[in-house]
Amino acid sequence: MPKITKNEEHLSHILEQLIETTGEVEIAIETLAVDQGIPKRVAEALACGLDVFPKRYMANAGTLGSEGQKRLLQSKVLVAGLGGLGGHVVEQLVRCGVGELVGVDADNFDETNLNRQLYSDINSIGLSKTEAARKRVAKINDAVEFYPLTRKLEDLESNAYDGVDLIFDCLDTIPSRLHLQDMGERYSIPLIHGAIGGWFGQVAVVWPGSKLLSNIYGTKREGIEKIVGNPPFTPAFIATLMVSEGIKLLLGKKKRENTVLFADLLNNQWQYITL
Amino acid sequence: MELEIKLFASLRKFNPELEQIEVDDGITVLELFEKAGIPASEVAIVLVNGRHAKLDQPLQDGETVAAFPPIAGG
Repeated sequence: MPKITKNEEHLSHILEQLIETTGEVEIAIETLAVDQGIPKRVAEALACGLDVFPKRYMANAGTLGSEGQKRLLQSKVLVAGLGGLGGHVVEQLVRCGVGELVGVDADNFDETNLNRQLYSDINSIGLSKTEAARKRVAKINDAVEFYPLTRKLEDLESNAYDGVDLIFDCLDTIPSRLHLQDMGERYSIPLIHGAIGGWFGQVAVVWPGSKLLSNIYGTKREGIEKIVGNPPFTPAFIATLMVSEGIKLLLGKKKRENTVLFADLLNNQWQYITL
Repeated sequence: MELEIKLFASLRKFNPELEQIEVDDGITVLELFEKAGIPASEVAIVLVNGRHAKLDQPLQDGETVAAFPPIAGG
């Protein structure tokens, strides 16, 4: 997972001195990144290694700890699908301070997305979902590196998965989800799976080789969302569960299990099943 | 024999009050769905007593059958 190439100890020492002379963590991080030619996320990770929190992560500190924040800054995540679920997932990952995000989506926003897709608005109609996400990420956290891949998941080159620690399955068709499961298996990367339809949704961690998505969908190739559609509150809710599961996994707090959580927001029922 | 049925999410609309059902001995999951008015085409996951099961599985007295629809939107 660590992607710090230059001597960490040496850079930490320089950063320590910069913090002392400037009296400002943010200025010290910026200076170190520019002077040493390293990504800002790497400089931020070094600060966390010194148990110093950049202000933008201060409110994460009590929950993630400096070790946890450092680990997130050193993590690389691929988000497949930047629609209802993917928009909310990206938003939260960026604010968590996950260092590198690969965003995959071939589509442009249209009016039918406006009810639920976070990065769709009147001005973004016609804009690619990857470009909208890139702009948003840059506005929130300039230390996070976002790599937009504006193409179908099935058309990705194999290097799209290089160094990826975790994949978020925010796709909207069963065949593409099964393809993503295959990729996770091929490159030994776990998936955080989320899906929505009407008042209902599901979340699961798909471990490489578990074939959990094949067990969930069986022979089905279309979901209930084709009939009941997708209101705005279900994707936000399911995306939140996906991110909290993903963060736990990145921080090593998640046990290996083949469990699916079904959420029924109409009857407020939550059901865990093991497949 | 008597079975317990638990329908989840959109499947509840087919038989919202159904919890207990009296059926012939040896009935399969698929036959149970037909009797209860649940279209098998809308069921993705079946659990019998919490274990993943197929549509042709024969059922025993007192078992609980849970059914979940496919959810795939993003």
